[in-house]
Order: sequence, then C-alpha cells, then structure tokens
Amino acid sequence: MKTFLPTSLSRFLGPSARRMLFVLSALYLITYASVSAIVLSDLSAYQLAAERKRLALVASAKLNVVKREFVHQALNDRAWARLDVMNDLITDDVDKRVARTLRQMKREYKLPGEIYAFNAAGALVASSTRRSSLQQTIPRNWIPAPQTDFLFIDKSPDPYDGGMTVAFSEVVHTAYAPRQVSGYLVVTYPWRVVRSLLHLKTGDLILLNQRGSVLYNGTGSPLPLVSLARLRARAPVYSIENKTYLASYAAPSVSAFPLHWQVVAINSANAMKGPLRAAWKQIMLWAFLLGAPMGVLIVWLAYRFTKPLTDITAAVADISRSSNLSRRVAVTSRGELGVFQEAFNNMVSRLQQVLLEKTREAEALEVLAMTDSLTQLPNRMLFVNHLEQALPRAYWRNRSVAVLFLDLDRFKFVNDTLGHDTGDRLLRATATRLLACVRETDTVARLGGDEFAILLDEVASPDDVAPIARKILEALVPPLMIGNDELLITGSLGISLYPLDGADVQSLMKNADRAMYQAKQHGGNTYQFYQADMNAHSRRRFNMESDLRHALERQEFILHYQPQVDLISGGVVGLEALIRWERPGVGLVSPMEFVPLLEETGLIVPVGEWVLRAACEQHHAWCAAGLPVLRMAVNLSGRQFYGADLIGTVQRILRDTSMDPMCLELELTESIIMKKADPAVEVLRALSAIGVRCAIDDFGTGYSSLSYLKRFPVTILKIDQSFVRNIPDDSDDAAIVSAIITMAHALDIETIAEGVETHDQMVFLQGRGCQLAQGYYFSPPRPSKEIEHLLNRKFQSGHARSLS
Amino acid sequence: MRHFLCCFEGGAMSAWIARAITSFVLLAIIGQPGIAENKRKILVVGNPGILASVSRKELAAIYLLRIAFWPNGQRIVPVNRGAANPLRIQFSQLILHEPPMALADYWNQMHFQGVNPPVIMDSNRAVVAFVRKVPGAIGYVSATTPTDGVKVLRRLP
Repeated sequence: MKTFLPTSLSRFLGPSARRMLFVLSALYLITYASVSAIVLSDLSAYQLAAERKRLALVASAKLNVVKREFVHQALNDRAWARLDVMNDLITDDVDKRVARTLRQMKREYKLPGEIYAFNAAGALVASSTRRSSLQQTIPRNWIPAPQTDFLFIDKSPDPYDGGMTVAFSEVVHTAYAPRQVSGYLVVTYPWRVVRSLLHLKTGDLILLNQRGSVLYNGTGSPLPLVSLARLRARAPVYSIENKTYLASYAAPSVSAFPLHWQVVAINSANAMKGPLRAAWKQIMLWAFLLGAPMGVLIVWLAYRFTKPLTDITAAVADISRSSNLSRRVAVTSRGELGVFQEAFNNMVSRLQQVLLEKTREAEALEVLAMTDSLTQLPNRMLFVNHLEQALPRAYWRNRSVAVLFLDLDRFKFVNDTLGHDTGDRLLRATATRLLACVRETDTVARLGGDEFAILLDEVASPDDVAPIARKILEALVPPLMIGNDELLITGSLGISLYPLDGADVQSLMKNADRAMYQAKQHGGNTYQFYQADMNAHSRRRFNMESDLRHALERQEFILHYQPQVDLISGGVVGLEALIRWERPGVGLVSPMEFVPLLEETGLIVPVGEWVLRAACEQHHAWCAAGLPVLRMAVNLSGRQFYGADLIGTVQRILRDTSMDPMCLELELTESIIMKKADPAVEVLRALSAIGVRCAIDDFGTGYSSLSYLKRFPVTILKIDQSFVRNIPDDSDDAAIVSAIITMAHALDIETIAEGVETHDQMVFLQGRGCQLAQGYYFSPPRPSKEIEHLLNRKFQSGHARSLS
Repeated sequence: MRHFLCCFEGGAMSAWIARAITSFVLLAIIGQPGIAENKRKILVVGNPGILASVSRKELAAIYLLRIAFWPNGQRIVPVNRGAANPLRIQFSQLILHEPPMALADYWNQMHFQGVNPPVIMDSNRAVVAFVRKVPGAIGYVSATTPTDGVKVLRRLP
C-alpha cells in the first residue's frame, strides 16, 4: 500500500497515519470482501436451489406441454376417426371425400403433421397430402395392437416424407361393419415440432423414451445415463468431463394417455455463473463506488487523528532545535487529542515560565555578583568589565577614557571613631553624590572600603576631565549629617587617561591608584593626574603598604624593649615597648619608615592595639617568671588616643593579661595631646582613673601650653632626644633640659631623658635631678630574650653601668 | 352433412304441418307414374352375401327404411346417391315414384325418429365398392358400371 502513495500524500500523512490508512483500508476491504463472499456464497446456494427448482419445473412443464399436445392430437384423431365420412374407407375413398375431409381438417386445425387414412387392408387410401396412392401401405409399427383402437407411435421415421415423427394411430370402425376394422386414421406429429416444444433457452432437455433411448438432447449435453437412477433419487449434481451439471428428472403423471417418456432438464453449472458474474460485477462496482468515498474518509480520518501528533512532534523538534519556547500548537481536536494539545501547550508555557524565572534569578545573581551590596554601585568586577568594553570603543572612535580613583580622606577615622554603621551611611551618601556628578553613560563603582572608581567614557580631551574632578571634590564638601554627627568629608582623586597613561585595564587602574596616593600625599581633598615619574618613590611605598596590610595577620610584627634606668639607683625601673617589622625578604624595617604609613592607612589602630596587648602579655610573663616588676611603657598613636573606645580597649587588655594598671605607662606625643587639648584631658583623666600612668612623649618639640600641662593628669615627661643629644655642651639645650626638669619637679611630674648615649649626658642629667633615662648608653632596644638575660644579671649585680 | 342440416331445418316445423306433408308425399309416390324418361338402365346391386331376390316393392321399402333385415337376418344397408343426382332421381321415380326432393320431409321425419337415412355415395364405383365390402349392403348404379364383386339383384327399369 505505502508504495502506491504519491509523495505528496506521504508528506501529508506521517508514518502512523499511513499505517492507520493501511489498517483501515485493509479492514474495509476485508469486511467488504467477507460480506461479498457471504452474499456470493448465499447467492450461489440460492442460485443452485432456484436452478434445481427451475429445472424440475421446466422438466415437468415441458413434458406436460408435450403430453397435452399429444393428447390433443390423439383426441382429434379419435374424433375424426368416428366421422361418417370415414365410412368411405370401405370404398377406398373412391369419391375422395375422405381425402377432402383430411385436407380440410389439416387446414382448419393448422396441423403441423399429416393425416393418413388407411383401409382395413392397410392400404393408404387418403391423406392430407395429395400424394397418397393405394400402392402405399401402412407401416407395421403404425398398426394398433389387436383389440385396441389406439396406438401412440414413438419417434420413428415418417415413411412418406422421410422426416422423424411421432404419430397417433386410431382404428376406424363403421356402423356397417361392427367389430371389424374398416381402416386406420393416423395423425403424424413431426419431431421438429416436438423439438421446438422441448427447446429451452437456458439449459437443456434430454428426452428418453420408455426403453431409455435418447429421443432428444437439446444441444448434445452429455447424458448422465449412469446417473439416471440417481437423478430419480433427486441427487441432481453430477460431473462429466470435469464439468459440473445440474439436472432434474421428470416423468409424466399416470394418465390414460400412454406416454411413458422421461425428461431430464439439465444445466451446466457454468451456465449458472451468469447471475453470479453479474452479482460479482455489482459487488466490484459498489466496491469502487463505496471505496472511493471510503478511501477519502479514511485518509481524512488518518489525517485528522495524526495531525495533532505530527503538529506536536514538529513543535517539539522546533523547540529542541531553536529553544523557542514561545512555540504553541493550535488546539484543533476535541477529546483526548485536544487535551493532549492543551497539556502540551501548558507544559511549554510552564517551561517557559520556569526558564524565565531561572533566567531572572541568574540575572539577579549576576547583578548581585557585579554589584556592591552596600551602595548598589557596580563592584570592581563590573567596573573592570565596563572598562574593558569601553577601551576598544574609545580606540575605534579615537576618543579618550578617564579612570578616576577616589579615596575618602580620614574615612578610617570615621569608621573607627563613629562605628561601621556611620561609615556605611557615609559610603552610601558618597555614592549618591558621585552619581550626581557624572553622566548616565559613566560608571561609578565601589572597589572596596572607601575606594571608589569612576569611569568617564568617551572623553574628548583630558582637559574635560579636570572640571569633572573638581566637581566631584566639591560635591563631597558639604557636611553630612549622620545621626547627631556632622561629618566633613574630603576625597583624594587620582586620574589616569586612556590611551595616555595606559593601554589596558590593569595599567590604567594601577596608575589611577598611584595618582590617587599622590593626591593623598599632597594632603588630600585634591586631584592628581598620573605622572610617569611618580613611579619610583610611590611604588616602594605602595608595595610596603600592601605588605603592611597583611603583616599583622602574618605575625610579622615583633616587639623590642628598651630599658629605662633610675639615675639615682642605677637600676632598671621600666621598659619601653618598641615595634619592629620583620618584613619577609627585607629583614627588620625601621619604624621611621612604616609607622607613618601605618598612621596614614589607619592600620595603626589594630597594630597599636596588638602592641599594647603583646607588651602586657610579655610583662605578665616576666612577672610570672619571677623577674622584678617593672613599668611597661607603650606608645599610643593619635588615632588610638582619640579612637572610639580607648578606655574600654585598655581595660579589656589589662583584664585579659592580668596586668597591673600601675605598671602600664602609655606614652603620648605632645602634638597629639595638644591638637585637641580639651578632649585629651578627658581621655587622660579617664586613663588615670583606671590607674594607668600617662607619659608625654617627645616633650619640648611641640607647643605645649603649660597651663594645660598643669591640668593634664600626666605622671612623666619624656625629654626629647633632640635636646638630650647636645647636652651638656650646647648651653641652649642644656638650659631647656634643665628648665623642663625644674618645671616637672615643680608640677610633681617625673622626667625621663631619651636618647642618652654618653656618660657626660648621664652625669648632667643626674646633676639636674632627672629621675630616669633611657638610651644607648644604657642599652639599645633589645628582643625579649636578651632583656630576660639582662634583667637576670642586673637583678644580681644591681648596677646600672654594667648594663652595656 | 347436408342431411343433418335439412333435419335441423325441418325440426323447426310444427307437428300438423309435418303430418300433412307426409300424407302428400305418400300420395305422390303411390299415385304418380314415372316422370323421368328411361334414358338409361339402372342396376340394383347387392353384396354377394345376399341370397334373396328383391322386388320393386321390397326395394322401395328398403329405401324408405321400412324393412331393415334380410330374410337371413342380415341387416340391410342401403346405399343412396346424392339428392341432386340424376341417377337417384331416376331411381326414385322408378321405385318410389317420387323425386328425391319430395321425400326430403320424409327423411326428416325419420331422422327425428332416430333413423339415419341411407348412406350416400357420390359415384357408381363407390357404390359398388361399398356394396362389395359391406355385408347386407344394397345399392344402385348405372348400367354401364362394372359390377365386379357385387351381385346384380335387378335391372331397372
């Protein structure tokens, strides 16, 4: 069947549809063929029965027709034999009256045969023909038997015209010769007439006489002689020479007329196929007439039922190829297929929805990953991304791109003193202000901490950048009210330009950062364009700073201790803790180099705290080791001093380390205290309240108000080494030192001289009444191990001079 | 056949008319002398089985069917000729003294009584042939007729 389908139909109908088409067609054909076979079979059986009935009827009817005709003829014969004129047979019909009568009868009765009149001697005396003469005599077989008046003469030759005939012979009697035969009257009935009576349109008749001789056989059908008995027994089907015949047998009913013929009506089975063939033609015709619309119907059905499936298959293929989830199928069917189509559409809708959600989530995540959560500004990653995209664009358009790095001055201070919450709000406010200063197309990002970056896209000339930089700095100037605090914020801007200061993202960002540091070094609240020669100096600083950021956590800081000696007793009474940085690959770095950096970056706060804690722990360890209890002096930076919770921090450390507050001496530079004298007094008082001693470091270098000095609850003044270095030779310095010592005595404050390197200096100081001294004359700052040794020895010898 | 027709025509008449006609016929037969000329001779022939001689009166009685049997008991079968036959007319004049037409009513009468008129032959030869074959048959033929096998009972006139 598939091969017969034109290609267009193949495309029109999918494999399932073709299978359906095939099955339905087969079903239809089988059904039709079955019904047709049953009909044909029934028809055949009916045909057979009908034919049998017909043959039986035909047989008896034909026989009856013949018999009736014969009886008719016989009765005529008898009537004519009894006519008076037949007396003339006595005279041998001399008067020709019989002959006349016979001719008249033949004419009037339209006899098919002839009438012959014979006299008693058997001589032909008259006939309905004119050919009679006395010389002709009656055939022997025409003479009825003695004592009988009638004879039926079976098929035999007519002696007068030579044809075959049957004849009816009647004996003629006369009243004048009773009981004597006066002649014979014979009526012939030509066999051709009998044959015409027996002729059948369909089928054949076979006529047999009493003795079984075949009298007539229509078209020469083979006679089932052997089957005659069977025919009588009504077994009418027989085969001869591979042909099947149907036959029916009839014999005349018993009557006065002595006709004993038998007739067999016969028909070949092939002849009966005519109606069957006609029926077959009808069936084929209707097979086509019904089959054509049926085929159309089946094709339509197959298409109708598989179309939704092929549609959905096509949609699925389409979706899997193009991922186009907006694809839908039309809901064309009712019932399960329609439900299927709707379910498919719903499924795709749901998938689309889910995919949309996933996409949005992914986008949100991406935004999250690319955004700083605090300020909602792009983070470093996104900034780099934007910059990467901006560079080629600028390259092709021959434009410039500016990268601005902004670092807020003193942000660390705000964060430390006012808390992270305030810091965060400050950052948010800064973000808002920055955004207001730039175009929509520009990017403002927060790189981390208080560092912001601004990307100015498509700058026509570097001259356009400076106004924007100024605008940004001015925008930061107005005071911010956060809570109850009024914050004054300034920033340092570093600017690098593409392609002037770098051709790639990394160099542009690095150079902007350097420029920013440069600006910071200039005191902040300014902007600085990158300059190539700033490199050598700033790189070192830059590297150091980045190392410093990790030094604390990597435990690269260590403490050295310098003894403080009582000039009267010569014994060690205290130690000053001094920070050292064991920088990997470099060795010990001078505090002069890294401490200002710590101050600048704000790292001084955590590092200072670490120093305090480490010193206290060491002190505790030594006390526990049985060494003499000494004072421990620790330097405090300004940031620490004015930090958010200095007192709390100190108390916590004292508690944690079980340090006696009286042993702790916090050193503050004169400039720190004097910068904000009033708050400093508060802090100092608070410190003394918890029992901690305070020392003013580098005394004499700043501008101390002596009135303040009176109010400060300080216990020690440390005479700056710049004065000590030149005594006793320099009279000015000697006078200053003497004045300080005298003043301290007057205020009941101890004095300690720093940087004592010579015996003369020591003697001078002793002479002026300075209680304490420290310096290389006694001992340089030493690691804790050496200090232990020293203290052990000193403890035993008890003489200061032997320290070195 | 023609006789049957006559019979049917006659049957329509009333009884008294028939009786009058009969008496008239009888008178005519008896009282009238022969009208016809004796142009020819007539032979009365009989079956050879007939032994008796036949007188004219007997002949007349035979042809009027008044006697039916020969003396030996044989049935008499008279043979007549057609009504218009000259020989019959002559014979009728000679024996019955009346023409055949005059006797028509008589035969009708007889027919009604169930008596068939004599058999009629159309030729002398037929008469001879019939008489020869039928025992007790008697007929008349012209004198020139061969009479082989029959017995000439009388010559007329």
